[in-house]
Amino acid sequence: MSKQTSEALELHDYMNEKNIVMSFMGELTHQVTTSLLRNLKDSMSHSNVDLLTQKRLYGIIVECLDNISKHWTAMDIQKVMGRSSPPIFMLSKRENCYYIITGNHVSNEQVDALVTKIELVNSLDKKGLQDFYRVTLAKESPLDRDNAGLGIIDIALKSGNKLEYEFRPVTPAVSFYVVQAKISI
Amino acid sequence: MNPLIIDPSEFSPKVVLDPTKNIFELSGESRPENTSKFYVPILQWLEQYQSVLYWEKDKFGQGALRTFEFKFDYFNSTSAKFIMDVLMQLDKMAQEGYNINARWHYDKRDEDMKESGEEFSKLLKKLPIEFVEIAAA
Repeated sequence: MSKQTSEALELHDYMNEKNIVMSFMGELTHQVTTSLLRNLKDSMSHSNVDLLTQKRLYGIIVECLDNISKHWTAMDIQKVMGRSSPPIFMLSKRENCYYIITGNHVSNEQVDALVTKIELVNSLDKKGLQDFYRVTLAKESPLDRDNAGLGIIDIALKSGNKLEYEFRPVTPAVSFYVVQAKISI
Repeated sequence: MNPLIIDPSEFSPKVVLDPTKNIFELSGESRPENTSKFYVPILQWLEQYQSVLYWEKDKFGQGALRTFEFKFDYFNSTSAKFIMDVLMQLDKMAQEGYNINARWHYDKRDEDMKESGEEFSKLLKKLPIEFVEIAAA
C-alpha cells in the first residue's frame, strides 16, 4: 500500500470512528459555505430529525462559519506564522447529539474579548440569553456593519448547551481557537 | 413610486415592495454575502415611501391599510439586525399615524421563528404585528 493510500485509509477510519458527518478545511468563502449548507440541508431532509432541531443545527452552523470568516484574517495569520493555515469545520454525531466544531488561528490580541463573550453567554440561562439578545438587537450601530454581535448569543440559544472552547498557543502572537457547540436531537 | 423587487437566491430573500399592487413582502432565507449592501436599499426605499405616504395623506387623507408580510424560513444574526431596522422604520411610520401593520409568518413546528418575531415586537412602540401560524407542509 502506498503512503498516500494508507494515510487516506487512516483518515477515513478516524473520521468513521469519531462519527464525523461532515468536515472541511480551507478558506470559508460565502460560496464554500453555501455549498456546505446545501449538502447539510439535503442530508437533513432525508433524516428523521425534527424540523425545529434541523433549523437550529443549520442556524448554529451558519453562525459558526460566519464567525470563522470574521475572526480568521488570512493575510495577517499568514504573515505572523510564515505559512497559510486554513480554518477547519467539523460536524459529528454521537449519542443523540450533534457537535459542531470550528477551529482557526486567531491573533492573541483577540483572545480576551472572545473569552469574555463566551463566558458571559455560558453564564446565562435561556431567559438571560433572550434578554441579552434583545439588548444587543436594540443597540444603535452603523449601517455598514457586517456583524451585529448577536452570533454567539444565537448559537447559545439554539444549542441549549454551554459552549466549550480552548485557545492553544501556537506562537507568541497566535493561538489556535477551537469552539464546540452541542445540540441534542 | 417605483416598486422594489428583488428575486430570491439560495441565500437572500425575495423582496416585493409594490405600492401600486399594495404588496409588501420579504420572504425566504436571509444570509446575504454582504448584508448591508442587500438591506440598505430596502431601508432607503422605505424612507422614500414614507415621504409618498405623507404627500398622499396631505392630499387625499388617510389611505388604505398597508400590510408588510414577513415570511422568513431562516435569517442569520447579521440579517436579524437589519430586519429590526426595517421594522423600526415601519414603526416610525406607524407612530406618525400612517395606516400600516405587519404580519409575521412562521411554520407551526418552528417555535424559534415565532419567538424571534416576539422579540422584535417587544422593541416596537406602535406598529401592530399579527402572528400567522402556517400549518406544516
